[in-house]
Amino acid sequence: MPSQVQLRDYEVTGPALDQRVLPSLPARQPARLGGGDATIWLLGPLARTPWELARARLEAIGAVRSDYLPSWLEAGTAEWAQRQVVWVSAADAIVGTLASPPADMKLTDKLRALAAAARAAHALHEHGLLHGAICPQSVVLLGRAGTQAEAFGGSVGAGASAQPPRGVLGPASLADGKQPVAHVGYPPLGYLDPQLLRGEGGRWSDIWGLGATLHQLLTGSAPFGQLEAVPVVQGLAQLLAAPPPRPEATGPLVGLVNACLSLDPLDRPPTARDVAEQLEEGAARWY
Amino acid sequence: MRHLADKLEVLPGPGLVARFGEVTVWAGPQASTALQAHLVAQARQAAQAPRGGEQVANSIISVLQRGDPEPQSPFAVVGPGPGEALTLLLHGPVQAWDSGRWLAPQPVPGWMTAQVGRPWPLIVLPYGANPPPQSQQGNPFDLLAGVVPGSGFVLLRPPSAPPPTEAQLGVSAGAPLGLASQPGATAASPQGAASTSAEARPAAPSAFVGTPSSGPSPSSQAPSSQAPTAYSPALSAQAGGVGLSATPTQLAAVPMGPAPLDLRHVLVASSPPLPLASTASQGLGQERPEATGVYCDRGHFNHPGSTRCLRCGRAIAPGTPAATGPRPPVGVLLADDGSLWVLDKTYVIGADAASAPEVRGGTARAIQMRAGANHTMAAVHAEVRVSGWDAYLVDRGAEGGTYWQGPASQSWAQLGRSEQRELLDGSHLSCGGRVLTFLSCWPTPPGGAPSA
Repeated sequence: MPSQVQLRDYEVTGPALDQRVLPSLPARQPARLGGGDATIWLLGPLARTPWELARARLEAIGAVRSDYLPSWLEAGTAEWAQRQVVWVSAADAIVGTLASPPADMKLTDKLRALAAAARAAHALHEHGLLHGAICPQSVVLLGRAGTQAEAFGGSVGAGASAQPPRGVLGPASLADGKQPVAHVGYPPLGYLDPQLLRGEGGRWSDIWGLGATLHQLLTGSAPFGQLEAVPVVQGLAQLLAAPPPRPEATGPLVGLVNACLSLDPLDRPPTARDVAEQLEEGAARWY
Repeated sequence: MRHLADKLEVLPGPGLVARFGEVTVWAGPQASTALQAHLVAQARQAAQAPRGGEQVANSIISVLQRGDPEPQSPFAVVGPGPGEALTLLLHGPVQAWDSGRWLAPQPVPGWMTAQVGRPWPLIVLPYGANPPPQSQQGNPFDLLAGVVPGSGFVLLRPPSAPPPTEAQLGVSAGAPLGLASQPGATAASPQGAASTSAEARPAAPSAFVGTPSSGPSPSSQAPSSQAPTAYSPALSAQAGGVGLSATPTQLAAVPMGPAPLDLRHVLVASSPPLPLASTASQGLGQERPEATGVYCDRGHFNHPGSTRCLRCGRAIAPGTPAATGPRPPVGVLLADDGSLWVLDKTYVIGADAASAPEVRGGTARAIQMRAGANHTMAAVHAEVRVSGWDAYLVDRGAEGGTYWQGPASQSWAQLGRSEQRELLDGSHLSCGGRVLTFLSCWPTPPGGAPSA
């Protein structure tokens, strides 16, 4: 019998949080958890995955503590929609994701949010875990809604207290690198490492996802968006054979994009922390 | 005659699903807040109307005919129509499966409306989305009333309705992919499934002439990878809030299960860090069987017929001498529920594939699958055997049989008992009413080239 998040334990306190961006619900924790605010994150269904396997992965992922990961409270399955995997975190104000950021968010801040996600990925990697689904939608932005760019743009006055949204890396897939995509969670094909698809996934697969997300930030389009515009069989076949040509990114971080999206993992940055450092340097120096 | 309320299962993902009475609406994340609110209000108003679906559809059509304010916004309306039929309105990039065919506005932007019988299941999805997992009979998931997030929905037979007659049965619920027709989907079903001929359907849909309407028949297409059923909501999203009101109190009551995983204080024995790329290749030899192939300049092992390394992309010169090395996976299996399985070793397919001796012994892996509607899946039903660089479909003698369809074929062939058939790139296999597609990344070797 799979564990079930008892939604009646949680009091849904408002509309779904920008659910076009991220399926989630604001809620209040039950008394047994302290009664504070919470966010219920909805993932995909577990119809194919034995709960015992998912449980072990969820616990392993939930045990990783990082400033760049959400503070997880519970995980289970949601009974009202086909056994969705459900994560519950202490509530932070979700203002968007890198797929749908606040309208006034600067590129500098987006790069810093992506850098935070890279550091989160590194934390997972150091615990032997692969995220497996890094894409713009998985980089979640937390902060006060309505962040004003002008309050942060250069001159910090006495009354300027608005902070840009900070990034965290959202729930990971249940990929393990060897059988990476059989279970809940894999990114759109445009962000899926071909090596992961061939059962040779590793930390370099998340680095691919970071690079593809960076490409999207710099150019406004997914690097391999054409893989998502065709039936999935065609997209997979194309990805297995070789990733299709992609629009070239430009600018100071183009080298990082190209490195992350190298077909051979040996040509990619060795760790996600390296990616984070280059992003932070680039954001500070060039953008 | 009023029917028992159909069972409504919400599909996870971005979007909005609202149900009031027998009227259900879905709107994709691209739809504006105003549009979503309008759809919800229309559904609420028409909840008790005998032809509520038709009422909502006509109201929306009257707006569309004066000019479509959001041509790219996907949404759908389903509800009672004339007689026993359901009225179905599809707008923008959305598709519906009526247990016989796919319906979708074509071209997009556009909209269409149709009267359909009471097909079970009726599935509404964003255009190109992955199909939902097989619905489990007897599961408690049922949106009775309210507004919740969802990337689509599935209408199923009411829980207390009598079993459908053969005349009411359509193509099995395992077939909505459109990858290839199911073996049981033809009148001459080798499994003896219910007839699915057009004459047996309760009502022939009629298309309303508006903008170009009749949908494609993507029976030769598989759904795109958008909106996987997995974690990441892959659909494009726009900024802005949505005025949803999740009403869990209106959801079907469910039994209280065991406590969920408490992650606040979980302590898990730490695993070694993931290896770096520079060290990852060490130890592969012990995991993989050896085969004859060719090495690229960087030492990556490839199929003997490769002209380009799959790992690094470097060209492999013709005449590169063959060598023995650790064989990489031969391809992947894409299941009809969107899951992917990397073929690095043999797989056993069945309802309890983990019980197979070779799985327990570690020489094979399990793909546990439940049968499609009106089909049976044996505990160990079929096998995809990897031998050298090739994959073979092997029948394991289960009742119901195992079927194979070549990449260029439109018909299924049943394997003989214990027969095996080589899987070529793009081949389909079917067992228990479920369909999987084999995709290889390796070239078909020219005559004489070794495959093992």
